[in-house]
Amino acid sequence: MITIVGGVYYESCIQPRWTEYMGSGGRAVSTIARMNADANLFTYLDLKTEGIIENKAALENFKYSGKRITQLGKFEYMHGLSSPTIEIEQRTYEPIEIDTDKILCFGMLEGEAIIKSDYAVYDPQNHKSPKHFHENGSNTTHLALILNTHEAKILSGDSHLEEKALIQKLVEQSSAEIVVLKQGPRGSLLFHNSEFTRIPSYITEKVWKIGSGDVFTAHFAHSWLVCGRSPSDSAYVASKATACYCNKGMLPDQSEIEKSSFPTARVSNRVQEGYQPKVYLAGPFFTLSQLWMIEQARNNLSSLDLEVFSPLHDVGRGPAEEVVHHDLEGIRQCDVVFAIGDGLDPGTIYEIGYAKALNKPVIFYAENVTAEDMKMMSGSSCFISTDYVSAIYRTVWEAISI
Amino acid sequence: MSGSDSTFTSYEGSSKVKTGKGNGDIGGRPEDTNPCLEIHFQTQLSSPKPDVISKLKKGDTLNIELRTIHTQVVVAAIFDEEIAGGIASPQISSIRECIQKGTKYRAKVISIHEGLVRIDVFALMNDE
Repeated sequence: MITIVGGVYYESCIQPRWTEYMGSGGRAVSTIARMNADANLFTYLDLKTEGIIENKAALENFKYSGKRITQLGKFEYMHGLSSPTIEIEQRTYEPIEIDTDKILCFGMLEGEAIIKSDYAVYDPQNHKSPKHFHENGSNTTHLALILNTHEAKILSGDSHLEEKALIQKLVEQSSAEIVVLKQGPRGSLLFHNSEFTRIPSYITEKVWKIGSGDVFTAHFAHSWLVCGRSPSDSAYVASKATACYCNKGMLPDQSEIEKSSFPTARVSNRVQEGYQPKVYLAGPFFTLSQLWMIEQARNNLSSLDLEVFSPLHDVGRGPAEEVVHHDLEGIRQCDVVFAIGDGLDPGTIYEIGYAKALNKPVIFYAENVTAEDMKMMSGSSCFISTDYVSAIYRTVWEAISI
Repeated sequence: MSGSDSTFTSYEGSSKVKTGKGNGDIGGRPEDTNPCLEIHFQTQLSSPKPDVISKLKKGDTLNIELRTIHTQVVVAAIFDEEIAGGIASPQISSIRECIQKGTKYRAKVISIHEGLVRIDVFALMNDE
């Protein structure tokens, strides 16, 4: 039996269209129940959601206990990499107190969980003000801290530390035995017994991003706390299970994890030594919707630690004799091209051809272009995707491998 | 092309309240309208069962039924006599009550992206 404490929220995404009642707690209990383990969720629930979770619990075979709140929180995403709009009650509820052997604990928005346990996996799940596990009086004998780089920097109070120093500072602050720093398409970095182990991510055709961090943490907890695997083996299993989830947008079971095979995302030596790969952002920027798309892609690629050359931002608008040679120099200097194909803008198509002539990898993202119109791209080894997040992730995987 | 999920519903789980038979009818609800027949919404197939949803295709119809699992009565989406998943919608309590009173519901698959299956849930009229 593993106890889980974490939020259940209404989540929605506009593109691709998706809605669910999940949250970190809801997703984790479903993840672990899918592995045929006994799982018991403690959370906050409003009256309307009680029936939904009751139905899910029976269908998926887990237990739950919900502390009553007035209104369930909502997370609304434009796409899988957008910052969600969060609707949450402006009040804090009484904490949930749990005394158990093994627990997976996520930070929540409605209130806190005060834990007493032998083993705890803790994921702060807070992009603004993550808290240390012990901060609210919780205590555990063995603590594994799992968090992303952004949360780690805030939690440590030092945004300038490199990854290993960052982890060591968190170990000092939290007394964690294990720290796993989640780094998205670059995999994760595990610290245990004074050693660092780099855990790869796996390259998938499609990337369903929403909830992937929860799935990683839940599989780590299941593997470490229920199956008794070592921390590094647990992180490997978690990474592969997360790849299965991202590829299908569905929680995998044991057999799917075992039979699935994905290429490992390779990180080149120069990137490991600190080189920041460069991506050229090709796409039209004549209308507000096109400008919005360019801005989204630039922000998302930058947040995944690529150096983005955007003709709009880095060259600007102007006559051909003033801008074109700068744009083409940007392509020559880049490692990879991310091209926005909808509308088949002539400038973008030219940039793709120029990049392919220089043997640069090109990721072509288009939701509304016919196969006939993409013939040259598909025939010249461009990676083509109708899904924005999948295209962004593929760009990172290409860029970090060079 | 319309990008909306439903002609009537703009928000997940809000039931589509018909005010009459025609789109242009803006009058009050007729006295004899059965509220169970008015439940109509689009949602995600929750708790999807991979073995069953792998057989689904766009346009397929599922029965929405009550099934007993470990003494718990659940609202389930059934395809070919197997549970394909559940329904994650605030309408679930109403549907449960309406099924117990005799209303039948179906769900049409409107899109499938791997494990993400969107369905349109509607009541069968008495004569269907």
